[in-house]
Amino acid sequence: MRKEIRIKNQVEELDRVARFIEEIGEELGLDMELQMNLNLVMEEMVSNVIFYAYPKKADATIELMAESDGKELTFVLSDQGRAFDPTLKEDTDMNVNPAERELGGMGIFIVKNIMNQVTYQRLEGKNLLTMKKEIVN
Amino acid sequence: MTQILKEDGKTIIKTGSRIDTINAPQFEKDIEPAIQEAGVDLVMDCDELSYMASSGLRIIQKTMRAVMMKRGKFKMVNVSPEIYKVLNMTGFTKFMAVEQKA
Repeated sequence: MRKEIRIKNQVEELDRVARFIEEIGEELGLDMELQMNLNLVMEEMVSNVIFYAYPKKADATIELMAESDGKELTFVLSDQGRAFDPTLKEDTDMNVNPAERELGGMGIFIVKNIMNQVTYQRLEGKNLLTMKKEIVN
Repeated sequence: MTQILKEDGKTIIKTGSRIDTINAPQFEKDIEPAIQEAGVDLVMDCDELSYMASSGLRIIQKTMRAVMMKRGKFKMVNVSPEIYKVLNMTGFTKFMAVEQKA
């Protein structure tokens, strides 16, 4: 299976990303929990690009590709915004009371927890974020 | 749709089915008066909730903070097993009462 979606850098487009994940889930017969988790991961990373990669009001296209070999599901998120490696963000200390931590900053932590591998590359002016998840049937 | 009810001295926030990047700002606004009440006994009823993104976790964090400052109480009830795992992963279950759906 190989599927692709192109979206604009607008938050309303997250609905289309959710539907894209739903279609993949159905096609591969993924359980509801995994589907929810993948949806969560893509929402976190795509919204990150929408909010931070481009100057305000600049129109841009973001691409999300999904590919499965039956054992592993690979997503590649690409954008042409400013270079940014989300994997470098230092993990928030989850042993500290959330009320006493800085607000937010949990997105990438959740993504790294759910996925088996998250890697970043900057290639030909693009940010490429590759996220892999083993799928067990 | 978020609903806020008063029952036996408690303030109950009934969440809708999703708290995501798109609707989180509205949810935050909806619950703001409830979380700022002095000495509030706040219960977030997540019975309807099937999906929460990190934008929702941020609001839970903010709620914990506000309630702590106002010397109130705050717990989450009827949380789905999937959402409980995310709350556990991010350290919330260690520091606040989170009851799973029966």
